Amino acid sequence: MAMTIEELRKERNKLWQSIVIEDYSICYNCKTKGLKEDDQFCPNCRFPQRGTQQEMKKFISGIHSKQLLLIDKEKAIRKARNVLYILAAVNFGFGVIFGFMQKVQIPLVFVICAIVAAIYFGLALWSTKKPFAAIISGFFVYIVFIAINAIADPHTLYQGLLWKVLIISAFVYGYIGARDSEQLEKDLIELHNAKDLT
Amino acid sequence: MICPACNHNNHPNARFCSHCGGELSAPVYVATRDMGSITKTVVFFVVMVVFIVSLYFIDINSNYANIILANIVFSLIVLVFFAMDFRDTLNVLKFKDPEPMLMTALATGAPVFALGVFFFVDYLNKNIFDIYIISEYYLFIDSPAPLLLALISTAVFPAIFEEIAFRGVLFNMLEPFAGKTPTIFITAIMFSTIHFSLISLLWLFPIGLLFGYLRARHNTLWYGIIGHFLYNSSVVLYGVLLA
Repeated sequence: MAMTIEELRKERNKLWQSIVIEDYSICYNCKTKGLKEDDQFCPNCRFPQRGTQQEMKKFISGIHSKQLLLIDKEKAIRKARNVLYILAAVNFGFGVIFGFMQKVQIPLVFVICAIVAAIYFGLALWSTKKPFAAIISGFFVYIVFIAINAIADPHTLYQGLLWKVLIISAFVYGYIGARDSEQLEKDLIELHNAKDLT
Repeated sequence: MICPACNHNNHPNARFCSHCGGELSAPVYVATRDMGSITKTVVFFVVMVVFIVSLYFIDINSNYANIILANIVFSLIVLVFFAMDFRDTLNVLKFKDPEPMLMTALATGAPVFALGVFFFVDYLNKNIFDIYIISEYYLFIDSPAPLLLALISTAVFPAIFEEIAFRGVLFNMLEPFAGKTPTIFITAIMFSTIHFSLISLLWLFPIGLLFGYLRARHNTLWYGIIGHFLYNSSVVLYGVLLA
């Protein structure tokens, strides 16, 4: 349902022109059919079909604001997803480099890093379907791994502190964005879901 | 459909009044909780993590009284968050019409699964990690009732309070945002990672999924509590009998 910024700009430019309704039995916004002559509002999306130009433009403008907000929220989700991919790649790379440097029969460091990388990678993939669940899970996993490292060596708690803050911020903005975007997407789908009321 | 605001007669499938624009039906998606629930979830999880980390620095296993004290503190933390979500969590603590088949499956499945995990861990410890881990029972060997206290500390307390924490409070807080199935996954991830053992994710994650599924399907924590108790107590007993 989310538009690109370009598509949204084009839609917003249309608001400079007057809204012309050719068939009052079809909603201008959601294309629901079967509106009656005395219907002031669309019964499906609440578009003021018989309202003034200002009222109609205010309604369309409200939808555009939601679209813009959705674009912003999706950016936050993408950032959090990228953080999950980066964490997966860093852990895997670390495992390959340090795991195979050890001259042991079973490269435990590699196995551990590969499992951690697989967890982050799996969560990144899941975030395409269920962004809120995947990002908040990624955040919890990250917190636990910081804690595990702190138990092994307490100095790691403040090592790379800036990176940790950035990663945690990306997760927090990501799951807040995901939570809001799921709601916004549902709202926007409802606002454009045409019905036949004839 | 009659509009409650202006009494206009609307189309039966209308969502809004075509006369005044008022809402006729409940919105399709209603966020029943605000962002505060997510914040509480995060705070609860971080508090648990900080508490568990602190246990590593006070050498909890040096004295059985420390272990009991840690269990009590953990239970109190859970109870504080339980109080914040009292009504909903209390609701899932009810146990109406227990299913005998499911109880039988838990009673047989949990000890069998625990036996498999016990031998697998034993194999890993001896052949890969080259370590020897003693059963929880021996941590209580100086106490007046080692087996009883080991069972209370390792099976009774975790079964009740971890289930209240993960499948109760956290599940209730996350479900309105994430939906039922993703919440089962999130709580399973939280439950399995908070044990701070990467290798144990192999069995703790599926256990978390199962208990989450049982809680979601039957709307009670009791199958999880019973399964959790049987699994943990089996591990303690195998440690005494087979080690």
